[in-house]
Amino acid sequence: MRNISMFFISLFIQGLPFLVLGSLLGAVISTRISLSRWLLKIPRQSFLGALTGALAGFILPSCECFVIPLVRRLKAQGLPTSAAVAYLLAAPTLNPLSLISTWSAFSTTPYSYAIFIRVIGSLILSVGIGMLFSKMPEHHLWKGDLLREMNPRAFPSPRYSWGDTISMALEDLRSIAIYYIIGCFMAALLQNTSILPVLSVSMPMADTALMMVLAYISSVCSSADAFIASSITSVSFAAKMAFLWLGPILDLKLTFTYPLLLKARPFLILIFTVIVLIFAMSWILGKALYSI
Amino acid sequence: MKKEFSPCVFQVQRLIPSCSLIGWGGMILFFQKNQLLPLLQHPRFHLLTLATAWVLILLGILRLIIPSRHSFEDLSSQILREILLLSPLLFFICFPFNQNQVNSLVKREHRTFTPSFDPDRADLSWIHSKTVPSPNLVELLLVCSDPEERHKLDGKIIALEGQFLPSERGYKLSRLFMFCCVADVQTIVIGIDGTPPPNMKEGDWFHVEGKIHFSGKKENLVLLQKSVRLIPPPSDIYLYYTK
Repeated sequence: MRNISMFFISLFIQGLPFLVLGSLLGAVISTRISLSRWLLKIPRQSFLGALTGALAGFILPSCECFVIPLVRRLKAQGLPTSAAVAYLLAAPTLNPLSLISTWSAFSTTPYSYAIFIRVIGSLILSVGIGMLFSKMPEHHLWKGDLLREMNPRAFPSPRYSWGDTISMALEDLRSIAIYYIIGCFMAALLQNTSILPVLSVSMPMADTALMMVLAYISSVCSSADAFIASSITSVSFAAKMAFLWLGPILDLKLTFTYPLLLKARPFLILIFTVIVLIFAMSWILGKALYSI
Repeated sequence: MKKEFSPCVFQVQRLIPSCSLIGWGGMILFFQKNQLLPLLQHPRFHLLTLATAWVLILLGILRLIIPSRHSFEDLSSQILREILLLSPLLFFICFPFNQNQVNSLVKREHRTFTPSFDPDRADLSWIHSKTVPSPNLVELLLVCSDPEERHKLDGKIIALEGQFLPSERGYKLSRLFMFCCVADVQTIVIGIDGTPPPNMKEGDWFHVEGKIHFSGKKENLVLLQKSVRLIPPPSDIYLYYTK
């Protein structure tokens, strides 16, 4: 139990700075910065909207811990669905810290091109799923309280003081921290068992499946996951990329934070689509590398 | 109909949201003061975590001072929510940990580090050293993962430091290897062919000098012991992939 307590607390304090930063950034954007004008100019057309949202990951960086409160606020300000979903899925991978760590981890291995494969894969996933979700009615997609908050003209308002900004940031922080704490606890429980090492690698693509399970359970921050992927020698490069594509989009702790944004059905669709796409991309990558 | 609260309940409800923020910040500062923070995470994150602790305490105080426009939820559900938010702190109070707890992780052999060859870190200049070299264990394993590099090391005498693990044949040197935080810690285990000092217990730190040998299909690194002695634990017990 003491091991679980130690893992739980270490995971919690590891992500806490990003939760605080994300909540503060989200609240400042909502109440102090006039993004509404720009957000309303983002193309409503699904492909262009999704592409713009995904590319925003480079210039409006956020890791997976703070992307959800930020997207929550951006969506409430009028960000189109295609762009919001694409940003949600792309930003944790495309943020500068994650890209630097990916480059560092793979630059001295035979897979120095891993950073490009990771970026391309992330763009395909985020733009594809962003376009898919833009076809769904908004009231089927987003949580009800988020839809009630949606009023682009109301933000920013001169009525918002710095006190309101702090109150909003703290409300966001406290809301998301509950889910994050549950996720950290589950991850700590699993990290303390020997379930993962006994999973055998015996079938084709089994290493990809194993790495995807590992990415989901370990819930490692996208700023550090590349070092873990590069250090595991018993799996193929395609399986390592599956780990790097999936982790920032879907892991145990995020399973408890996505419901803050999405309703149950679109969340299940997201999980299914992400898993199928990553599995397919990993298979194609494996075939392509084998044929070279 | 809008619910009316007594002034006392109203004050309690204003206080409650600050508890978790100040509690989290205080917990991190306590870890720092008691040297527990270096056990929990990579040194690269210490400054960020400490800055966050102070920001949380400041935000908690501001939350007390600044009147909120948010309507208060029911007191009982607010208390339940706060207990959940404070669960990391409550866990630490109920199940505290210390360096001994971290040391016990060396026994987790199911989480053993598997290195992959890294040519950029294959610096073997130390093998020409006139004194007995003490190579970085991570770099040594990275080099040893390459069959072509192994033969350069075979038969060289090196010195290593680590924690004692008993074994059926000889004994083992174990080190904890961290990527990011203690939850992703793995063990590095090297077999030692020799006899440990009689007073050595599991988890004790020792310094060993020995000859590099590769056993099995010439894949497993084993140290043929020449000398061994007990040493005090180092200031930082972890090995890191990147400093």
